[in-house]
Amino acid sequence: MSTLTGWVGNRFLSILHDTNKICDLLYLSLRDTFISIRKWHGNRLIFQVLQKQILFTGVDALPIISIISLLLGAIVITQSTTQLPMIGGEDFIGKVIVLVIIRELGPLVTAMVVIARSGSAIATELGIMSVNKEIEALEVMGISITRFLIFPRIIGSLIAILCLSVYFDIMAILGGFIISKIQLVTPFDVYIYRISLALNPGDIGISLMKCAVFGVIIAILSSYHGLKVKCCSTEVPQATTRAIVSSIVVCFLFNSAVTIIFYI
Amino acid sequence: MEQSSITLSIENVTFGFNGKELFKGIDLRVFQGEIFAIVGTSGSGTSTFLKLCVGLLKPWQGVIGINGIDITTVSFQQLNKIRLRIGFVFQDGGLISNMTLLDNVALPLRYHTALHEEAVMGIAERRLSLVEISGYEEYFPAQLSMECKTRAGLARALVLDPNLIFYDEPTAGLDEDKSDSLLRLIKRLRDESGVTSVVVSHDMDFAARTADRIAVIEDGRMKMVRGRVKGEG
Repeated sequence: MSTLTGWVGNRFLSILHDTNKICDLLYLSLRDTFISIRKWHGNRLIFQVLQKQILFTGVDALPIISIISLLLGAIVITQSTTQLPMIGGEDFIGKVIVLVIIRELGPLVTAMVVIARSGSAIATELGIMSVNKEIEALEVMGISITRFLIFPRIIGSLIAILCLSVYFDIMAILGGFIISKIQLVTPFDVYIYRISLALNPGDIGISLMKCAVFGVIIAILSSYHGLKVKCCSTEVPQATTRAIVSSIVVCFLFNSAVTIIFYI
Repeated sequence: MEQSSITLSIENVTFGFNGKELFKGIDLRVFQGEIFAIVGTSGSGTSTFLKLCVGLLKPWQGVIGINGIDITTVSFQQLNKIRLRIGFVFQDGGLISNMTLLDNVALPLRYHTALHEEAVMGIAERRLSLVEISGYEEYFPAQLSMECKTRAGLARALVLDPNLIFYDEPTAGLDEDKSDSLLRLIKRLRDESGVTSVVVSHDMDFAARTADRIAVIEDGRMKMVRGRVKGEG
């Protein structure tokens, strides 16, 4: 029993320690960046890193997001437009689609794709850089790790996930409808009308806010675990796994908190 | 040699890992324009000593002065400013693996200066030429030999015109001819630009051929082999 208590206590302290370090890393990357923005030097270089991050996290993820959004959209639309009329709930079709796709699945599924592709890549890249002493080399050159490596990844992930989420919603609602059209009888204009009635600016705002926070969570957790790698290449896959698992858990926790705060 | 100008001064530095002492009260002064070699067996902490010198690690006690400023007490921003006058050549160059050689050498210029891209490229190409690896500009580090990586690391270390360069095992993995070639380059930098060099090596023969003064790290203490460590000048 005492062993179990000790284990729980140690895990709790470890989580507190990690949370403190992650907040510190986030604060430092923001502080260093805002301090150095005034100098202008190096901003072109930072912008190049940012561009690459948006390209990798956003543009390169479009094919996988397209497939998932179309299929998921088709499933949700087919289920709602076939099942709801059977219980007299035709009027709720728009509400269900907005609720499921725009409020919940859009941000969450996009975040999962970004975690799988970019979160793992960030953790692996930074882990390998640590092992190869590239991080130390940057520090010795007077290059701020938080400004050069972390900040562009945070902003890049944030911008990319926002755009991907909007793209996901559009593809799921429109593309999903087209795929489902094979077996649906609901006319397109009626379908769009019902969605527009159910949709309000608050839903879009909260969805975008969730995505922005997801972007920050994924980038900062992946960077933190990647930078924790010290000297051994076998630490890299372990760090990547920790980055993915912690990002998923924190994103789901945040999503649940938002749902509880805004919709209950 | 200008003995009055101290580039690196270390006073009573003590450091260790996990409560275990690695260095005990180390004192050292390195003067402007000299080549100083530190020799130690594997595990004696020579690389750790260099990391202390550039502020990558913080000593338990003692003072580490670079160009007259104690780097153990300055802020992170001030330390980064001091690092602009320091070069560091890692054992395998410490190059960024997803950048070409030219981009690696240009990196400090792009980050720290507002120079136009043409000027940056010009300086980077001249530094690569100085270390005799012109023609490898578009190669990635993984495509290069150990010697090329070390030379590229030196080119990058030189790009902001430092007055002090630290070399961590520059001849590791190199045969005698290549070691000699690197030795000539280090001496040339001293003679032409007055750059101070602190070279860490396991190879006493290389140290003897390269350095003006040599110290050995043994049992956590620094012992002079050639010249005097403490109270020089």
